[in-house]
Amino acid sequence: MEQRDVYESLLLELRRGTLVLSVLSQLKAPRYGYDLVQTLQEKGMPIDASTLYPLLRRLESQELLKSEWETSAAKPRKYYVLTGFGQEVFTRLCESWNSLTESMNILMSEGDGEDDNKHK
Amino acid sequence: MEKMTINTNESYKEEIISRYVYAVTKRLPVNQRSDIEKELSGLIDDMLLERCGDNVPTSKEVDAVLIELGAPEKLARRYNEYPNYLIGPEYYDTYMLIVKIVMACTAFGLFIANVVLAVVSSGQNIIGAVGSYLATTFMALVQAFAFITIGFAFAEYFKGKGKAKKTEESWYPNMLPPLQPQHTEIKKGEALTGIVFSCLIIILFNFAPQLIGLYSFTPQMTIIPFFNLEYFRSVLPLFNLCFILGLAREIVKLTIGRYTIGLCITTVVTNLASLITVFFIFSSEKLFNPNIVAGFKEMGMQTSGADFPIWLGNFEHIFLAMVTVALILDMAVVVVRTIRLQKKH
Repeated sequence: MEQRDVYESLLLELRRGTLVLSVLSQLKAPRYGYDLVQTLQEKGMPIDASTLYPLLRRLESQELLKSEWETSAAKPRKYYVLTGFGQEVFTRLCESWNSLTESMNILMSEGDGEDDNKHK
Repeated sequence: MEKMTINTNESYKEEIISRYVYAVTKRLPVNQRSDIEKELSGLIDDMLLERCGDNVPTSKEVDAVLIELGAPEKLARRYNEYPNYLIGPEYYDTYMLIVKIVMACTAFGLFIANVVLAVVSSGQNIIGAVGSYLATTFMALVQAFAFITIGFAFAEYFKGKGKAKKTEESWYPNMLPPLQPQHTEIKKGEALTGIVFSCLIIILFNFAPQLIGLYSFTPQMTIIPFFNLEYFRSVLPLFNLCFILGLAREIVKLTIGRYTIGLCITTVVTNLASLITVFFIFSSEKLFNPNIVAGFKEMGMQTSGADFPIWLGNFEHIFLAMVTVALILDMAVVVVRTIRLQKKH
């Protein structure tokens, strides 16, 4: 039971780091919060609405996103979209992500084979 | 029968959602509240729509959505980026308001007091008077600021300590307190008047007690103080205790803004404490200026016979009676209004 908790909390921590990138990746075109919740769920990156909504506001206050109330529809909704700055940051984060995963792949495949060290 | 259920479900949904949204937004900075309120209501609607389609959601379905969103304290904390405050967003606006009022009252009250003092003691040099006014004001402002800040920091620190964690673990929508109708709100002006009044009284008692007295304007302005100023200074801390209790009560009123049980208890406790203190202070005859009757005579007033106004003869009792009535009346109003509200729910 306790070991399971440890795993859960580590997984949570790992996922937390990917949240911002996931959100930014989906906001090249304007979307409202719950639309984003559903999209991310469909694409295998589920995120709680109670996490996403505050996160969207934070990203907006960091000027990565801008928002607008769409009031012409039956329900008023707040749409978020990347700013120019957000776009720029997203591109750079993607590059970092790619080099990170490359390094991680190398690190993890090293762990697989015990003999790797002997080849030096 | 069917219609009946729909109605109750509909009203349950509206009621519990507005309670939830209110419980979240009241913990957020004022300037973000209405935006988050709209967004959060929209989100809950969307979540219900996904689950129930066009059907009116049952109370269970509504509860499930709110449980998924989590305890309002927890959600509010996610909205607040930097959760460690000396004075958090819940109290910040009230804090700023109180600082402004108290600072303004202090500066204004001291100004008036000093002008009157200067007029009474004519012959004092102007530059010296202005200098001492500025110095006193500066010190008073710093002190007032420090006291208010410390008070609010304490309130922030002890706010829901210990209790919070437990409720979040096993949170359920039926724990949301009911919203009170608009008319139960305490008028802001009422509390603000109380705050301004308390500040001015504190300044008067601390910086110019000699101005509390009987005024005579002929042939020149003179004041006979009511109090024996030497003894008065020794009981001044007790007076201050009463005034600060009163000030605290008004600030609590302003912060809560509604007649709640908490406010009711605060009022009863602070008023009873003030009442006991006042009786203690007034129990000593030394408090009053022994020369006061002589002073009346000097002013050309009849101190005996039918012309002598009775209220002057035992004004200390009248003073005490007035304070007692005011404190009890204030307490009674709050208690009655609170009880009436509790009965309604």
